[in-house]
Amino acid sequence: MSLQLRLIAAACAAGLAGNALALQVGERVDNFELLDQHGRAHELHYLSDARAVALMAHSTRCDATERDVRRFERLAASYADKGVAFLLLNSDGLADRRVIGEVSLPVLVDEARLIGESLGFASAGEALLVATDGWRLAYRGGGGDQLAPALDALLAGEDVPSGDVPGECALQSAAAPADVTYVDDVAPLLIQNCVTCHREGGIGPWAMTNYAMVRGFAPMIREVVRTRRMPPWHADPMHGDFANDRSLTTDEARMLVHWAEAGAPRGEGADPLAGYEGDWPMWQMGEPDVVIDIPPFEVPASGVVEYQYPYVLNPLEEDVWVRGAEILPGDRSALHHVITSWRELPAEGERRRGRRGSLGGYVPGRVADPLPDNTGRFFPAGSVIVFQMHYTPYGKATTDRSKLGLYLHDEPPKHRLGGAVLMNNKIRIPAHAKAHSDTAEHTFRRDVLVYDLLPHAHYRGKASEFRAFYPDGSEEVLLSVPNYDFNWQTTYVYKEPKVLPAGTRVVHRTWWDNSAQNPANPDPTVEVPWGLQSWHEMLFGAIGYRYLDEGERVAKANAEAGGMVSAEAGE
Amino acid sequence: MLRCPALLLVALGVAAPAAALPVEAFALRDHTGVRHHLDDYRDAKAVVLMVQGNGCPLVRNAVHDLRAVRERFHGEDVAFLMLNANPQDDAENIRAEVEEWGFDLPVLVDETQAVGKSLALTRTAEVLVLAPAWRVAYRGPVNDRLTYEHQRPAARHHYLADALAAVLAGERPAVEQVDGPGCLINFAPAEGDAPESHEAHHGKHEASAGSP
Repeated sequence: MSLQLRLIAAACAAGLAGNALALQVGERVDNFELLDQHGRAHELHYLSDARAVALMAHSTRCDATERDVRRFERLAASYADKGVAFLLLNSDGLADRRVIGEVSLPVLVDEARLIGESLGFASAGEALLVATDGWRLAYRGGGGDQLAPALDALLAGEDVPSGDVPGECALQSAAAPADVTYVDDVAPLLIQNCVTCHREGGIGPWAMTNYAMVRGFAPMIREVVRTRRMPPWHADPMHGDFANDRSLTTDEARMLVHWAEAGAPRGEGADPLAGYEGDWPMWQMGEPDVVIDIPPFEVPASGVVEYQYPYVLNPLEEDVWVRGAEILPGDRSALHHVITSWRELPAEGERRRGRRGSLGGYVPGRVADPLPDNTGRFFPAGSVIVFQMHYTPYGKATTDRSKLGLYLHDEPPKHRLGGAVLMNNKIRIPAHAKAHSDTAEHTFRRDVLVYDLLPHAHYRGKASEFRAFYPDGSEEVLLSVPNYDFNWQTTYVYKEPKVLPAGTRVVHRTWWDNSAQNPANPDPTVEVPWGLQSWHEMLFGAIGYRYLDEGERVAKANAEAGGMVSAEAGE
Repeated sequence: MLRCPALLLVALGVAAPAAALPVEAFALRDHTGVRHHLDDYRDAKAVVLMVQGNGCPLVRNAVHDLRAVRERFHGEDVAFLMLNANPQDDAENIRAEVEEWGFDLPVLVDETQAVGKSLALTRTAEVLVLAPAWRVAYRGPVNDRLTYEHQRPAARHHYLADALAAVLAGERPAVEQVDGPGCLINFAPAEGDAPESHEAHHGKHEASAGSP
């Protein structure tokens, strides 16, 4: 307590100089997550094993920033072993993080400026010290000569001298959207983005049923947007354009957070969420051609349930081509994800492993999509369907009775949908490692058209990427997931399918956090091997693709001769 | 300058070691209408208060861990209660939540949020251990098993059980305060601009006062 009281006493003595709206010394610094200039994710409260966090406002438009950054870097080096984390924060309307030059420290890119605003950063070069014990602001002032004495005082548990806020490079401020209200702005956004899960009977734990409910949860809405827990979309927007992107735009995030910070005003008129009925059909793709019951499972009220692998014999008597598959969840709150595959049983006396294939999967909130036009998945008679079922207890014992619906082609489709699996079962994740990584790779021998990418790890998964190394020597990040979340087994579906020429090598890299700082980590003290269960780990990536046909290859060759690569499938 | 006294209060309430915080006795009705005065429990060796909020997944999960602690301290003169200070919840929808999720403790309905403010609550799923003469001996999560959207098979730290064991032994808990996950409680003053919110408030009042 003494430290906190001293901090506040110091703030009071200093007369709370400076920006009247700024976060004051002694106040709590709320959590946030941002990507840095390299696309790595940083969450403030993850740094709880440091004693203090030093933050400095960064700008690419300020001449003094270069000097300030070098000074900050030197300070970071001299405090490296004293438990202080150093971060730069750019809340200056930076449109493209690639213009950030050589900086050895992370520069967090606050595109929506929400974090810089709430920290009260007004000028580049302004610095904050945050005491991680209680996340209290301990210092606001210059990032130069004043910062080291302030840090020393903080680390020694002494009074932190107050600093002078520099004013030479005012940060670009963006006007807060005026008069945002629940009725006119927030409710329509929630209907568009959230209520498919946050409704009565949906998987979201609370239902957005009216103004009173949404207002009550407004501080929580602000928190989940600032920490990027919601909406559940984890791809770095700099790489790839995905059809199932459920992130908020920068403007939407600003609107929502400013509304919560303004006290969640209601506005005039009828409540758009009161009595709202969306179009939520039982089967999103319509009545399936075949419905298969998945064996029921009793989910306990609490604890962790390991993966279940029930199986069902294929009831069909002929080989078929599947044009879409959909899981109808029995209990949406308990069903975390399903991955459906089939395998042929070996004939009697035969030792050869039979053919295998995929039938798709399910994650909460996913809008079922039929497979791309003219493509299908082969599903042979006499096979066995194996379901990987992941259940999450949610406070109430329940029995899940989910179903698989299959939609069939009448004729064999023009293209067979293939799946490449990039897995590495030799992984060994050291105990306590914060960012151990390993890779798996696959080289495509023919020209392919890639439809989607799925990274998969378990509770220790931290980040994941797919990187293409092209035959011409160039490389490209196909997908980056800087903050991998085991809860959301998202398949990232390209808006425009992507051509990878023959010879392209795709490297799938995953990083794991096996430290105690990862609150989902079952046990930081053990080395973790590959394994099917969630306390083990996986490096498993899947790529959904088909081969380019002859006509498409000719078209592609012609286009290349003309100086451009076309992703048109030429159907 | 006006902020300074307020900041000092915040610091005392939230950041001060829990044991330093005296608790003003309070009286509230629970979700069934029964009135509870904190002094009704003056003969208990401790009162454990879990902060509840409808729709919060962390509460729905944490009550199972709380139940295990209740079983361990069964017969030890420890009283267990829940408290709801959410502006959006009222006795009626709390009854629905209690029934659906099988909570088996009285949920005190803090409709004016006065008790929640005096206890410096910020999030649901927090538990407070109130020791005799009413001071906070521990505040934080039941254990470290739960976090946002994730749960572990087992906890590594059993904060509440350890704190209770200490209090029953007449000692100060080794850990008096832990930052835990939970749903933020909206303590912002309601604007009087929404007709619905007036009705909702009125309804809430009636539901509570009208019960026996």
